[in-house]
Order: sequence, then structure tokens, then C-alpha cells
Amino acid sequence: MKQLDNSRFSALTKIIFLVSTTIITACSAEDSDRILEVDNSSNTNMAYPDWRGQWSRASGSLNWPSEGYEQAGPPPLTDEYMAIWQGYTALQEAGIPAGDPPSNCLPQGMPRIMKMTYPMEIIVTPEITYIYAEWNSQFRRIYTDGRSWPDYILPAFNGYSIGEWHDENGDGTFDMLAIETRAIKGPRSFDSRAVPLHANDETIVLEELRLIDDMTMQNTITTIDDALTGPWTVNQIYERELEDIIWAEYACAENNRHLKLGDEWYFINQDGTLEPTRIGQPGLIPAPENSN
Amino acid sequence: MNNYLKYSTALLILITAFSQLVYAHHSTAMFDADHPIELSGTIIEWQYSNPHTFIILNVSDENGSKTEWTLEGRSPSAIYRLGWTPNSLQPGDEIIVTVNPLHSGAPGGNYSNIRWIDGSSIDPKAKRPD
Repeated sequence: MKQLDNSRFSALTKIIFLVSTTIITACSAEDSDRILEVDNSSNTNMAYPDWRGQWSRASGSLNWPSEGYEQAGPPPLTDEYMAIWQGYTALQEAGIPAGDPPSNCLPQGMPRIMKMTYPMEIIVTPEITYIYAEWNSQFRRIYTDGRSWPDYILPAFNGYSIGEWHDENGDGTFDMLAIETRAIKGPRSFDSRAVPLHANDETIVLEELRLIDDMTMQNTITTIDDALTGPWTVNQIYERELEDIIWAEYACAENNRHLKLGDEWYFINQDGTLEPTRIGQPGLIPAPENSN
Repeated sequence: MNNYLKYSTALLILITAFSQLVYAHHSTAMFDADHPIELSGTIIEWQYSNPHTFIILNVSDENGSKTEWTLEGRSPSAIYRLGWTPNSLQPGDEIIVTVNPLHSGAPGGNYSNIRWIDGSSIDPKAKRPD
């Protein structure tokens, strides 16, 4: 794999920063309120990190903690939500993908999207860091322009994120992005095992993104949610690819054959029949003309 | 229920119910991983689509009766980077796959361990006629 050219990237990010600062200054006459909220003054001489490339989850399970519940232990759910989870588990055992919204093509939402079942790209600009997730072709926007929380935020599956850059080793280059995400829409689960989040959708997710080495990134993700007995922190590791990067399109509605009707799930066969997925399920298959 | 019993019960349910969830990006609950079957047949169609690829497979039983199976595979995002393309499989190809069938017994399922009818492995990057 290609080693990083930090000097070239630092120069590029400085150029981007200077250009964007110029644009903000040019706008100040007509948008002075906004500019007052943008405080990059202390960051003028800071460089931004080189997080280019394609980042994929390190090998491991798709459970919310990568080591899996068998090793990590069960999730810290309240008694009420442990019972809900066990109910989902029983339904899944019977053939019903209960409690797993992506089975019906809904976005995973936060924090599950950061599991990065498929790769991501991180695009750093001074005001916003974008995280592109190949799964469902989604973007997260992490505002780092010093803004405050808006009075009202329209909920979204990936929520609304405000970030703050830190220079942990004091070398003049930011190396850790702390993120807080609110206004996260449901329904969501932590993973395909249907570990639930609370139905009130008051989840807050805190993240700390930092490199472990040039080719490895760690995201320390803490979820605060009323389905949990307390904040739940997991570490997700991503591995970097810098050469011969391949991206694939992901449009979930293209050929999804998992169909939810009411509380029942069906599998759409090639001939168009809706096949029952569990034993004893009422069928929705048109009767042949010669049947009684 | 004390915490020990609660966690033990939860773990037992997890281990028995979800041991099949190896690669799927969402629940595979509708497929029976406890009773996999081997299917051999002729490809009618290879659908290189999201969120999953599909093989439509014509399978003959010992009496010569034919059944069309709809078989779900991994998504392009999971296999494109491994070299699989829309040209890797073609109608008329004879293959064997391991299938976790629908719990209901209907002719559908998800598949793994795909190989040629003689048991040899498939090179997804091999040059095929367009």
C-alpha cells in the first residue's frame, strides 16, 4: 500500500482552508450574523489531517461490538428493552426479521451506519467533514464551523452532527475529530441482531475519530439512549486502502426481495409470487385457476 | 430475574438463533441456516443487483420435474471488490450451491459455496463471452 505524502496533503488542506476563509470573509457584509458564529480564529495556523482513501471495517463480526456478544457479553439494555430484544430474537428464530429496519431497505441510522458494513470515504474541509457510506450511498455532514445547535432540527436517520477538531499530540495538525450527533430518526437497531434503541428517538451519539497508524483508524463510539442502562462505548476499527480503490453503487430498492406487509414478511420469488417466510404463515400466492 | 440469569438467557438465545449471521448486512432470519441443502442446476439468470445478487436456478429432481429457485447472494458491494462482475456467471452455466432455504419450504433461499457442477472452484475474473 502507498505511504502517505503528508507534506503534499498539508499544503493542499492549507490552500482549501485559505480559500474557504476568503469566501467566508467575502460573505461577511451580507451575512454578519452567521460569521459571528464561525470561530476559526484559533485554527488559522492548524493543518488538517490526511484521511483520504477508502476505509473499510476491520474483519470481525457485524455485531455492534466487533468481538460479538458471545465474547463481549450482552448489550447493556434496561429490563424493558432486554425483553423487547428477546421478543425480536424469538421472532427471528421463527423466520421473521423483526427489529431490523434495513431488511426493508431503511437506512441503518446512527450509530449503526458507523459499523461500515461497506466502505466509507472521509472528506475533510475546514467547515464540514463529510463521511460517505457506500451502504445506501449516504452522506453524513459533521459541522466544524463552530456553530451552535439549532433551535429545531428535522430528525434524520443519521441525525445532525457537530464536530470539534483536536490536536492531541500538539504538532500543529489536527489529529482527532470529536463528534456529537443528535436528532436521530427511528426506527433503528444497533445491528442485524436487532438490539433495539429506545422508541423515543432521543439518542445522543458521541464519537472520537483518530488514526492508530497511517493505515488504521479507530472510532470510539458512545451511545446514550434510554434503552440502555448507561452510556455504551464500543471501538470500531477501520482499515485504509489508498491504491486501486473500487467503489460500488448501492441502491437498495433496485431488487429487494424482502417485503414487509403489516407484521408479515414475504420473499418475492422470480415469478412474482410472495413466498411465506415462516412455517404456518398465511400465503399471498394467487391460487391456480384449476384449484378448488 | 437476576442479572446472571438474564444475561445467560440472552446469550443462549443469541448463540442458538444467530449463529448463521456471518456476512449478511441485515437479518437473515427468513432463511433456515440449521438445515442447509445442496442444489445443483442450470442458471436461468444471474442478477447483479442491489441490495443482493440473485441466481435464478433451474433444478431437476430425480423424476425429471423442474423447479425454479430464487437464490439470494451477497451484494455487489461485498463481491465486486473480490472480482465478481455481471459477466462472471451466465445463463446455461451448471453449478452447485449450498442453500439455506426459506423456513416455509418455498423454493427460495440464500446461497454460499458456489462452484461448477464438477465441484471445481469458479474464477470470477475468468474471461467469458460477452
